[in-house]
Amino acid sequence: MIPKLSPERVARRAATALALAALAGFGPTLAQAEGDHRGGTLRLVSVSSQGTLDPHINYTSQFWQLYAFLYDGLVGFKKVGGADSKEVVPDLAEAMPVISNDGKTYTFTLRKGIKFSDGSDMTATDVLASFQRIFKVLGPTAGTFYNGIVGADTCLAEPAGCTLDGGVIIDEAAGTVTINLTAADPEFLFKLSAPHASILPSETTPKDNGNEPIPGTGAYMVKSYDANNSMVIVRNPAFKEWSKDAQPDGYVDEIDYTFGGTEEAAVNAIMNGQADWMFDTPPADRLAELSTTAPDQIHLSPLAAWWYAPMNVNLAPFDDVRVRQALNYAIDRDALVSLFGGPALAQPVCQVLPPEFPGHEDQCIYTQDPGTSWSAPDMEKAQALVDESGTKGAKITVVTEDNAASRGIGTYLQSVLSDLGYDAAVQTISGDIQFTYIQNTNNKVQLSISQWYADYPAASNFLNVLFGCDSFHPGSDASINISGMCDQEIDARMKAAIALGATDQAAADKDWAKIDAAVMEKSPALPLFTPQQVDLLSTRVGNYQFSSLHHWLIANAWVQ
Amino acid sequence: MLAAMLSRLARMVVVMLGISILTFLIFFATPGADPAARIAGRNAAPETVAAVRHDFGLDQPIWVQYGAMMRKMFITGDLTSFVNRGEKIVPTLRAAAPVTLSLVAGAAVLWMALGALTGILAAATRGRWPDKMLMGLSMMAVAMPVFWVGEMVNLITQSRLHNTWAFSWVPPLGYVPFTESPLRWALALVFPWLTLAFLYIGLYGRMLRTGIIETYQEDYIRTARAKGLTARRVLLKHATRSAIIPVVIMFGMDFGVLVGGAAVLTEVVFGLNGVGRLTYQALKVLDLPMIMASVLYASFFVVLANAIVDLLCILIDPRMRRK
Amino acid sequence: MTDPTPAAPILTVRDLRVSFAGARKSWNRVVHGLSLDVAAGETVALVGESGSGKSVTSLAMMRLLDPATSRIEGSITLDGHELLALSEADMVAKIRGQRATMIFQEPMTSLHPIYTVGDQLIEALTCHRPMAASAARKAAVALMERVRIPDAARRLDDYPHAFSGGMRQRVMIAMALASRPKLLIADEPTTALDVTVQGEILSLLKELQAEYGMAMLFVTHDMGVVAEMADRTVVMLRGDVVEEGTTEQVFRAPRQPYTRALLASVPALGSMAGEPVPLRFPVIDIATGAATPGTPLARQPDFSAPLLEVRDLVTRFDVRGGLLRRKVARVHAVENLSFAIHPAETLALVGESGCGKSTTGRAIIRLAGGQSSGSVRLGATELFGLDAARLRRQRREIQMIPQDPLASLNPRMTIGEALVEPFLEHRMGPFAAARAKAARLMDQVGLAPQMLERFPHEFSGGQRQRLCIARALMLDPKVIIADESVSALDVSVKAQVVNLLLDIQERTGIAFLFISHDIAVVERISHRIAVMYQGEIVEIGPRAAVMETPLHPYTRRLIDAVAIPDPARRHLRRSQPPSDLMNPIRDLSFVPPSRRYREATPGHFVRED
Repeated sequence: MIPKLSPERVARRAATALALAALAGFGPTLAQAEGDHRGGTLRLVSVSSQGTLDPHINYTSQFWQLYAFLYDGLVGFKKVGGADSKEVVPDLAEAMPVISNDGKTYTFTLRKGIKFSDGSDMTATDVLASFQRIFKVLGPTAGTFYNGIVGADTCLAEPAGCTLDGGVIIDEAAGTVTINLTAADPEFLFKLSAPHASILPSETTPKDNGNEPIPGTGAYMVKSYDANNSMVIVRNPAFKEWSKDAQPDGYVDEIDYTFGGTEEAAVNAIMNGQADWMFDTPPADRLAELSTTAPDQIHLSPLAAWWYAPMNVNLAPFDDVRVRQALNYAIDRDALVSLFGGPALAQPVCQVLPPEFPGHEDQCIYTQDPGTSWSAPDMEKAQALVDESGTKGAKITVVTEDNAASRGIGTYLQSVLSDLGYDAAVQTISGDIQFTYIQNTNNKVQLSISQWYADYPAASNFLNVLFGCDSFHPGSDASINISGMCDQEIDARMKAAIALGATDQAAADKDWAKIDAAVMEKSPALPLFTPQQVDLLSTRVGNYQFSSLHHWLIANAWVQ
Repeated sequence: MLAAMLSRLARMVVVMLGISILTFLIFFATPGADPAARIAGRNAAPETVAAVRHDFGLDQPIWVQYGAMMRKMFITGDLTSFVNRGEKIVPTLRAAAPVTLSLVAGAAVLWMALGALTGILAAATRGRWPDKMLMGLSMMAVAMPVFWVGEMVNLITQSRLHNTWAFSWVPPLGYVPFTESPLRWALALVFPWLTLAFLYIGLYGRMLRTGIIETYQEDYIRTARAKGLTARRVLLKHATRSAIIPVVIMFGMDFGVLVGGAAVLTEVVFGLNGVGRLTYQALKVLDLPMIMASVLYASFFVVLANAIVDLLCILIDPRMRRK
Repeated sequence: MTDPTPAAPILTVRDLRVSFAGARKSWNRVVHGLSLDVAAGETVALVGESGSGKSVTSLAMMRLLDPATSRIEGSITLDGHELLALSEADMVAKIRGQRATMIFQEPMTSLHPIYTVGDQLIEALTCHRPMAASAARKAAVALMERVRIPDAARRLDDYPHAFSGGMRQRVMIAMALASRPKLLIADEPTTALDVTVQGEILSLLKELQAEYGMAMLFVTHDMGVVAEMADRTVVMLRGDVVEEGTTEQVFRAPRQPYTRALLASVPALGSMAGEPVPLRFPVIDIATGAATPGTPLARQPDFSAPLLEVRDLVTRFDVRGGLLRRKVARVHAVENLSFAIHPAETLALVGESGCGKSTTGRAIIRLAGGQSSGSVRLGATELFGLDAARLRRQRREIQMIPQDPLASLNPRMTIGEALVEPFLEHRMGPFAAARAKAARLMDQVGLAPQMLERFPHEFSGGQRQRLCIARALMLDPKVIIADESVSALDVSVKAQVVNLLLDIQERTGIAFLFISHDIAVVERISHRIAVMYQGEIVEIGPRAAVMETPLHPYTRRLIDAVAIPDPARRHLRRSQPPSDLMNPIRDLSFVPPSRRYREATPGHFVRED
């Protein structure tokens, strides 16, 4: 079964997905000259909107998908479908930065003649103001993505007076921007490509701008936004294409995005030609029907994400590594995939890094015949480990969300735990509460079900974030290391791998593969599966392209 | 009269105060509800969480926070959402209200008219086939969940039979403001009205039927018949007017609750972004200011509707006029 | 079979049979072949006790019974129309509200509460004869004036709840007169009214009948009313006519034992003249008609020392309203009441509804809410100011017999349990003693001890009242407060229960505070009488003195208004203006006037106004 993707679920899907975009056949329209496709209105629907329009604050895949053609950073991911989409290209900067000072200094030269949609020129002053603003508005990634900039520590402590003195240095006349880091960060360009580093006019208020659109440099601009009804996006009159890779001119003249209704209604609207695309995943029963009646309208793309079940390494019985390993041996990952809707919508995984992700090497130790891939559960081994640990009969509660998939998985885990001799129960909590609830150590959650969607294509975004000591904050609702694993040796290896990435990414990725194995050895979580993105389009939409960061590239599609 | 209104107003304020305090306390007692952590975003640095906590005043004592929230809601009117940051609560609610009001008011007209018709017809033909048929239908109406009915209606009008002559006129789901086009407003609302009214037609029809049949036991009905009034006049003028009072009281409750947001299922199914959906979304994402505002809004309407119903009852039944 | 009538009959009923649908499609017949005639200008009374079928007969004549559950057979001819052959539409078009109209027992519920009196009156006027609104209004005002409703034009726009019972019955009569009917059916029209109001209504009906020349069918259980109203009388018993004749014949020389029994049990005002002590009702064997004359009470009250002494009893209720539910007015329900009851004595408290007599009874056993003050002494004990526990013990000494026995008996308790409960509650002895006493008392109130295992619903109304008496006696009280205890009973049953109370008093020397609006019963049972009006005693004294030489004008009016079962008084007209009882709601600032009483003869006090 496919879960109905509720907003809170999607909110966490701020996303980069790597790997191949599944390209559907474009049909006869491809043959036409591209200029003929210009014009028309694209109608998008979603069950709900995702809050503030402020690109420095919004952290949802739904709006990040729109920021792709609304705002620009100094650099950005290439706006193309397929594997190339993970490539970082110069955007507002003329060229890729000059990196010096052992990877601690980045120097950019800004393009000339770029204007914001309000008609004003984009200058180096705007760049400095934008970086300061990340801290002033208490951006969600201010302390995790941009804390390496010189002066960031004082900005985090005193956001209102943030200057980034010595961190971001501009030369207005020359049009150059120099960013100094406290330490080399091989992922810094990825971080600069995220919408949180969008360049906004310097006069933008240093607080959450809410539903008021902020002028941007992209091909389009938001004309009106009502979080409860609709968003109208039109062409940016001040836009002239400067780089097809970084910010291509769009095909459609207008994009109407309406919020409300149900997934069911959205499918109907698309099939009736009243809408062109839905953000939410179509309901499972409709998807099954559509796969036979309208297979050409469905597009499946793998996501850089995983569903996993963190086990709290600080609470009995999971404080015993044998118990954690036993459970990893015992679960039937094929059964989990079918719980989620079958092999078309997910594939089983046995390690932390998703397939095709940097640092991923096929490896699986928790299977019948350990090797590169998972084949079948090994109940005997699991049982032996449990017997050895002497924890049989312990009480274990699985905390799930209140959607069908999560509950189904929870119930399945309960049955496996019972088979192993535990006294298992399932506790279901409303989706949005569950995510913060399971993070807080005060709630003493032993086993839960969660998901993680990568922000950018770097192994550390999985391993270091989910299992690093820095992300473990006991007693806080914001402690993404849900397992509570803090292994000093592994942590040191991760820090080293990040540093190595600055000079030799290939060698670093090799290390990450080993770290992945080491983490799985400790078994802080049960990898469940990696999900697929489902896009349902109306028949009139052409030129579907799927980018790992921005998902479907809306501006690249045409409707005539 | 003025005193009665003031007294009602005072009671309304007390009720709303109680409800808001309760909502506030429940919210902060919920584990996993820490607004600072959710506002800061996933994997936010502890410094950011702390800064957000301070910025939003969440590090202050709970009563100070309560006071601040009330001040922002009622005095300065600039209360903003915790989730849709920058979204001003009061205008948002004000924008959603006409949608719900259009839906509920239209449905209310329908269900009162058809419910009354059902009840009167059934009572008039008590024990015979029209009565049995109507009561069977209304039982069905009461038993079917509105969400399911709505999905079925959509399935037929928007999907399966959308391209036939019968339903090709049905506009896409969603709301069209009355000011934009009264015709399209009405067309877009036809099926939502019917769907929402369906349950209540059944409920009110049954209730009115029982009421009328009970009223027929009253002495004054015997008097009316002895006077030589026709059966129709006895039914419509004498029996129905008495029997309609409990229905009106119930109507007040239902109307208030629905306008206050209880029409959420119908709203969601038909893509009408009204108060109910707003409340539902707010609850789903634990958006305290929005929850607070919508809860107060709902309680306001419930109290208001009850006041109006009391007034109506006084108009209908002079016995309720007390000096 | 009927006596010659003054004119050709307007209404002819032949062999009327009425049945109701019973279980499994069976039909239970409740009226077995009734025949009667009513001529223009004539009044025929249909008399009987509950269950005699008299009301069913009257409803059948209007075809107001539900055709789905009832069956009417025989023949009813009204003004040349065979009613049982008419369609429902024809009944509406030609009969109901046209040739025949009807007034009912309960004026409080017979008018539609949510339409103005004018609306309902105008409706009756216009539903058969369309007329202009202004003309209809004028006609309605004329009708209201005709039934002597004061200030008719203004009161037309009032709602029924603003009218007293008597005034409502006048409205009902006005409505019935709207179409100048040939026949007026009056179904117990005065039963629910106070006695003074009853007199007024009866007078009005007589007067209107003479004026309109209509035939009147008068359905009632009250022999006094019959004697006062009817030219001819038809006596019914369990659906059969047992006796029929001119009212004089029926009253002077009843042929049937049942009629004789009925008449013997009717308390007739003035029949006690010259009797020194309370007198039992004569007992008549219904099968044979043999009469045993009532015996006087043998035991004399002991006037040496009062048993229960009430001094300056005041009970007031606050009327709250406005923003803060503040007191806005006060009901002076009982004002400065003083009286005493002696062992083996019966003091009657009479008055019309709302005069405070029931409140007095409840205040004495401290059940009345509101604020009571004053002093109630039982023997040497002051009841006011007792703590709860001691009051409970004292309450044993004062027991109450309620008006509605069914409501006061727990339907889920057997009679045995109900009787034993208070005995055990007051720890008066072991369970076996309680059972033995209960059995003995059942015997004393004329019920079989085996009936202790039954539930309340298995008893008739009279039997239930006996049970309540037995229950009160379980605690060996010294005083029993009987609040309208026999008012709801049929005449024959009423006589039996009154006799039972007298028997008990004779045997045990118990004292009764007998609260009643029925002066005829009061006259028979009491040693002394206190007349209450608006919360105060206006006259109190020995029974003979109060009844034979009433001094206060209100007492006189009360006695005057009682219908006396003597056809000779039939042509008497009372010509009193319609009265509305004043309600005792006063401003907060109201200070009750101080009252002085004059002792006319020893023990006979009258209030000086």
